[in-house]
Amino acid sequence: MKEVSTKSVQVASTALNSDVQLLLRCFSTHRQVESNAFLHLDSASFLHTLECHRLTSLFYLTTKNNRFLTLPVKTLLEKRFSKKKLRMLTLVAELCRVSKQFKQATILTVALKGPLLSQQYYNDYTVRECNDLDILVKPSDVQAAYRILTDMGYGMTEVFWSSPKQRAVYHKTFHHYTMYNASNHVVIELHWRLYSSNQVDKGATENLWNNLRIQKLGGLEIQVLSGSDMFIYLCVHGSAHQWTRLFWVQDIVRIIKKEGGEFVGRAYQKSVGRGVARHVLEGCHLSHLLFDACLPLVIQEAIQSDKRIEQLAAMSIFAMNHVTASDNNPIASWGNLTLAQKRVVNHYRTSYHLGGGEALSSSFKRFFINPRYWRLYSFSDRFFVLNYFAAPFLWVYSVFTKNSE
Amino acid sequence: MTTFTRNQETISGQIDEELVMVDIERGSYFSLNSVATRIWELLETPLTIEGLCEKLMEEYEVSSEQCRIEVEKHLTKMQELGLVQIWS
Repeated sequence: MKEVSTKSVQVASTALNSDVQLLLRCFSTHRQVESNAFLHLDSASFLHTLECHRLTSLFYLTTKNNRFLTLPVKTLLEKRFSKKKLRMLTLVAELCRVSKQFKQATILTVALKGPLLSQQYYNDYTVRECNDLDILVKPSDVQAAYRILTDMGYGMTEVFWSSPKQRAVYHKTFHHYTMYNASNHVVIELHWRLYSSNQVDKGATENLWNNLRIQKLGGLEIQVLSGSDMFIYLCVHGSAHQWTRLFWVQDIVRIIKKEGGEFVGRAYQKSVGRGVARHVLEGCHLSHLLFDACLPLVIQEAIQSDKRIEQLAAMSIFAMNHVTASDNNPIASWGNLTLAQKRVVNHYRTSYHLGGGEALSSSFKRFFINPRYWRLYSFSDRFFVLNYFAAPFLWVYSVFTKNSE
Repeated sequence: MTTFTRNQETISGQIDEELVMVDIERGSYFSLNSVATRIWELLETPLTIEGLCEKLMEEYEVSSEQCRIEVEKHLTKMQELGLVQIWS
């Protein structure tokens, strides 16, 4: 079996900051954690890193019996773990409550990621942290589903449109509403498509309804994506976000471990037919580089023969390395500004490497169709096209006003 | 003899040594003490009160009379909370 080059593994290791390196060593079955690794730990920084990568619960479960973990860190982790577990139980219960209502209204739904992914690949529906519930419905059912959720106490977190044209453009460009329930603080993303851009994984949303499977939760049968559709979806989703959060990579690791090489090979072949092979290869590559996942030969060879995978992985490692700085004010310092610029450049480079000129164009277009700008200022529907010209100015205004507050 | 089993329409998770249950409709939590948690675990397969007592007496130092009293008390409460039901 060919191996991913040692150089790639070394580059990955040295490119990461010390908190992330330590985190990965704790998860690794091959790399040792030195006895003094935790003694010199900046606890606040490390715990913040865990939070940003949504790995607090998993890290706690992996290391709670590690005798080198200092007591103050262990105590803090334990408290956070208990809190997150309670939070996840709330989300699980809410998923059941909402699913029941949709079922009674004969609205077909698919639960994406979330507690059911956790149940299947982490053996516990509370271990994999999530901040919201993702529910997919057919486009024709979106308004009915929206009404059910509003009756249940949910409201849009933001209403992005104030005219029929704006609403139509929003539905065409984006893929979900974000809705919030103030009584239980649950956020639901109500999806009508898997992805925001129609250029990615064309046809995936239309075809998935024929391949769903059932998972049981709280006595209910809830539909989820088929194994390969979910694997591909997680890879496309992760790539679109440059794998900024390690828990997305951990999902791929878990699936590879549980389902095995043949499953991954088949999913990869499926992704080739759907034009998202690079998304899958990058996810697999990162899972091997960072978490030592064993990849089947077909994947290893495909990674080796596609030079863009290394470039994509390098940009993703940059993104995950700087995830703790993602809320930094870009105009507060030269360093912040440089980081923000690099992020923007990497975002578009990633789009290009993943999907070529078409994906880059689609990604670039979204800069000009940003509903957040419409709330600052928008032209009437009669002159809608002028909103595209106004976008860059409104972006500058929003950067300065947001970071001046 | 009455046989009891879990109500499958529940959401629960282990936090520290306690089992936390969530009422799906109300969204409220409640936790079970260690004895109730153990009864819940044992009722993964339907059991009578006698069956429960037999298993619990293997784990706890308790007389059969005291065990029965405690199990009946816990099962009554768990039925009220909708956690446990009679298996038919």
